[in-house]
Amino acid sequence: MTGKTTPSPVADDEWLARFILFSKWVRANDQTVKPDAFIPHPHPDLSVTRHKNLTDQELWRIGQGIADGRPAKFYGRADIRAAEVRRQALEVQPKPVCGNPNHANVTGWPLEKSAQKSIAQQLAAAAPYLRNPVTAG
Amino acid sequence: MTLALTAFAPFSFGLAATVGSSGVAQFVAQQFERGRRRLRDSNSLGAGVGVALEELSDVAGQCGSPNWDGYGAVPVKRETLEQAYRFLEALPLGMPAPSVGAEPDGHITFEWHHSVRRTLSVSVSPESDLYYAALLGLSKAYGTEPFFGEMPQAILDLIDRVISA
Repeated sequence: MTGKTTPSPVADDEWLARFILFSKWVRANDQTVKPDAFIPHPHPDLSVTRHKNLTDQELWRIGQGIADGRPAKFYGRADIRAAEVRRQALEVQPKPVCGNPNHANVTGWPLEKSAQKSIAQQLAAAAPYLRNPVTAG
Repeated sequence: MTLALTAFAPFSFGLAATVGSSGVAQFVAQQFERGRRRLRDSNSLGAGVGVALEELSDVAGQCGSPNWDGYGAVPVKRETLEQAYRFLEALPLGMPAPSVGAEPDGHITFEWHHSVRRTLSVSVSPESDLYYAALLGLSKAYGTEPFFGEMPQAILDLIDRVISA
């Protein structure tokens, strides 16, 4: 996948990563991710990174690049299957950006905030959290 | 807790600020409020709310500038922090304190969490709206309530259902 070619559609069995740069998006007691991490903003899209064709190291490196751009501490990532996203009547659109050809947007969110929260809660429940091996200590 | 209270020092909440104008009424209200604060300082709710206030102060510090999440989040406004503080103040005695967070749209969140399938999240907006969503086993609930300084019954009921699991 390069910027010169049309990215392939996102398959149901693909994993998507949501990078966590805010410590309070992770519950301290059980290391699960809060729905706050999946609220789409700037609305209407939620940024994610496809795992497709990336090694784990490359995936962490992309997250670190986002953190460095802020700059912020890179805590970890929440991974979710595209099928789980579609189960919520959302869609995943490939949207390569500079420095991250695997970038994608989760689209189709309802306008109403509480409905967004409900979906975010269900996505969070299906998204295992992985700590950044570099900063996990 | 001292830091959080200092940060919100200009704001006065509680019965003392709202009960009638007679001296007796004011005295009773002040005593009630003093007792309530003493109780908070001496039981589990007090400790929990103290932690929540510290978390709120922490969120204010971490989410006060644009792009605090790396994805273009908007800063948490002072008005939102004021409403969030009032929300904590409105928690009934005996209620477990929530964990505190923030969303990319600048709302403050309060969460009561038993498990990923039994959990409640409430977002506080600067316009005094409360957006809530709960997972209760296989069922779910969500909606919006206005916040006028008292905890809406719909949210109290959901807290009860989450923590009594």
